[in-house]
Amino acid sequence: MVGSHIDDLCICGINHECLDEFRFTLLDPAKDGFESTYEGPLHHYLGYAIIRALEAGTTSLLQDNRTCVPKVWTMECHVTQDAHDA
Amino acid sequence: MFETDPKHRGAMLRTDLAPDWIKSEHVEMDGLWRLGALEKVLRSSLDASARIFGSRFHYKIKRQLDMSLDKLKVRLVLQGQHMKQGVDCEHSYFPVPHASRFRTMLALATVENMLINHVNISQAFLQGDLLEEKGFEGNVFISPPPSAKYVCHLCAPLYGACTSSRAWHQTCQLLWNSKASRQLASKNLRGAVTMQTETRSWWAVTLTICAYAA
Repeated sequence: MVGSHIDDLCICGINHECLDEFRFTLLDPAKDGFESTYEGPLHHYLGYAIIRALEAGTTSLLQDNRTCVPKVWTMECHVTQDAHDA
Repeated sequence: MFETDPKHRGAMLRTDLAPDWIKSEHVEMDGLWRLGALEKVLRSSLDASARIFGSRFHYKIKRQLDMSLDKLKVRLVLQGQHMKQGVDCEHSYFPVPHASRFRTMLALATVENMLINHVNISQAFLQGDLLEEKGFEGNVFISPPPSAKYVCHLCAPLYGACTSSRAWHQTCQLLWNSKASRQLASKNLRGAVTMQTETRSWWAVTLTICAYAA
């Protein structure tokens, strides 16, 4: 999966080969791709700090610098979140 | 108290970080010349109808989460507020995905236990192709900050121009719809993730081409 927000791309893949293939095929300036910098695993995106626990299967989004949004969003499988949780 | 972003070049020169800001300005200008975004033209060689817009540097201090200094970012921006709709461009609309799309994607990646990597496209707008709109053809020139007898012919969409975002959107769409990306998607496709909520949404376009490896 690829998400793009203007000049920030987040690429999701099941393994490193899949991610590298995307980068080397579409983001190689020698092959008419874009000049880009590889930032490694996603830890910041759209103002969120992203904390992943792969073993636990959870991803948390933090917006420590904002006061108008919930401090921590935890996304887990089969869990629904309603307004009161926030 | 944290240092704030300088509003203009004069304010920048009065800060303690001035030498670092100037270095960043050079990096930005080097990038513009390297990408072929600008081309020097003698001001006297232009006729009266030439569209010349001013430009300025925009300064932004990038901070890390603990508010320590990350980097000093400088952008040369065209003063697009002087461009007029119907004269210089048709319109400036360009779709940007809402943050909820990103959260959805992150949730999907979490459920599927995928790895997530981050790629930043350097000087993105400049890597786009200029929009060729019917009725709005013609060259645009900018007078760079230390403006002298030269102006610069704009060969790529510069930050600040009213059509730059649309040009970048169009360039990306072409890439996502290219043969290479289709091949890549079909090769790695196990279960395609399709979220066609808004056909014009860039996010939806990108999600449709992606896939996860078998």
